[in-house]
Amino acid sequence: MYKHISKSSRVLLAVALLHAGVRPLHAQTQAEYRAQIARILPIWRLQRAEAKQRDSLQRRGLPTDTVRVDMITILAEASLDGLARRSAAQAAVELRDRFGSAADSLRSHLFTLKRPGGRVGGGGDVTVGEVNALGQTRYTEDVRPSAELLAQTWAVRGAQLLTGQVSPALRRWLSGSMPVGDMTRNSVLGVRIDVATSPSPLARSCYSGDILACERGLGVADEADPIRGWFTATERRVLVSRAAYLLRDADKPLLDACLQHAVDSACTAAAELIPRSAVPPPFGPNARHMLAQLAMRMGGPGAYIRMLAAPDTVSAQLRAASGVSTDSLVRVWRSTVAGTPLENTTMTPGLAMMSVFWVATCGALALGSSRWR
Amino acid sequence: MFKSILKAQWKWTRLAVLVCVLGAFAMPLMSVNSNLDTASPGMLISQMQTWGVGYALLAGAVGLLVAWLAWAADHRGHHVYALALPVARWRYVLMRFGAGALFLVPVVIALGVSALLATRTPGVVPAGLQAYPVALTLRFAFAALVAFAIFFAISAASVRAAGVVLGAICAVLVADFLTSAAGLHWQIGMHAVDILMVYPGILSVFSGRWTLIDV
Repeated sequence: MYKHISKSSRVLLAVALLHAGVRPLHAQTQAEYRAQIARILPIWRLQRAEAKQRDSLQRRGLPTDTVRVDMITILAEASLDGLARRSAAQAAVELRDRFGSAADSLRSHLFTLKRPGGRVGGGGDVTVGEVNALGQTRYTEDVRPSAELLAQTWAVRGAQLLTGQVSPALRRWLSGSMPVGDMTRNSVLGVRIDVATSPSPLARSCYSGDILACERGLGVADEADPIRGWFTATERRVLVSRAAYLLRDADKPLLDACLQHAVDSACTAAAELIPRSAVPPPFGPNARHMLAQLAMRMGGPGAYIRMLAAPDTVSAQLRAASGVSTDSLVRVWRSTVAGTPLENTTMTPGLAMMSVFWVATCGALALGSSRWR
Repeated sequence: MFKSILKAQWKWTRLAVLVCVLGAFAMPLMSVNSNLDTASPGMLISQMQTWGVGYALLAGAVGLLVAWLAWAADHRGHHVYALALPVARWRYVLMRFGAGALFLVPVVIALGVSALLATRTPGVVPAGLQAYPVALTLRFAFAALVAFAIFFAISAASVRAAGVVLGAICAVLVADFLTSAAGLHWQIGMHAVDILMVYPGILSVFSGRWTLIDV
């Protein structure tokens, strides 16, 4: 019988028997037993829960490594752990900066990071996604495996989810999610181009310094009759043509009079039938996003929380976020927009000098070429 | 001697130059005509930037063709003609370079005239925007000259030198492939492209904004 036991096991058995002989055996008391169970049970429960989660993730085809950085949780493939951690760290800073403690509500949300089609190792794009309440992956998107790009993806999606907390009026006004990150020179330049080239009389007045026109164009002033107050006859016609799909068949004669015969009274009447939520203020979403970004920046820490707690009007919420009056906020917005220089960079002296340098360098290399092949 | 080199080189190059002149003349007119109904000035600017890729490609193509045709006959004749001439190699190369650079001028002029004509039409440039025909023409000229100089230097070089350039490009591609296959996100290829295309890289004149109508 003993020949089935290996040599090392036999040695161990002998040592155990000797030890038992030296130390008198005594029974474990009930209290000791309970204490031991109490010590082991939480560890066992935790491990069982983790194993269950791993099994469940594996069954659903989800990555099994969990990367947690602040409020961001990513289920990542083992080979992408480092990338997930670096990108989550960057995104968490941005989200914390913008949304403060409200960003904690993302803790229950799961993002995923894996290689497309179950590919193992190697380069190429990575697939990011989210796990919904039913445990299914959705919103999958292929992204270059760069920590910066991934951080941007997490931050933007996080902002979209957090925008669900703001009032419907503010969500409509934003026409999208709360912007993350600060304004860039290019984004401000884009707003300046939009305002400077807009055919709207409000844009022209705002551009030349009329703050009330800016407020009206941005949709933060009280406007009793937005259809007449915000838009010219031409703009009303454009508005009706864009939102025609929202009108009923019964409104067809009105639509025809507006779109085919350019009757302004018909356009005004048709525009008034468009749901208020589908009538955006004259200045585009970029201009409004910039105002929201500015309010957040001026308000500093806690701006977003104050905004959530403010009454349900856009101007009140922006006031609460920025800590200044709407007038002051819009004045800063206008001076930032107008103060960003518009410049065309098609040809610059630096570009010309650099081109001459490279032409001369290549020319010199050619001159030094050998006549012998 | 420069006159005879110019004359001979023109014979080899004129067809390519003619085709490029037609392309250069058509491009600004087409870019403006295709955007007459654009909804907003912002959209017009982005459409104009899209056409910028076309200008950069045309400039690169002109430079490549003129440089390649400048040396094609020498390559075919195994450089015997150049060896037979009683001039130093550098003078010979300089004359070839000068002649080739001159052949870029008709293409640049065609683009300039077309850009001016296209933007002079009333209503083409919306209020708040401006036309930049001269800036665009200058950029095109510099880009064509850079492309010409690069391909001229490569064509003038020995087979070994051309092999070194080609080998360096291959080495970057292979390193990029191997590092990404090993799961390292070093993106060597992207960094190499950035070095070349971002100011003051040798190809940076081809990247960035090329807009006929802008803010």
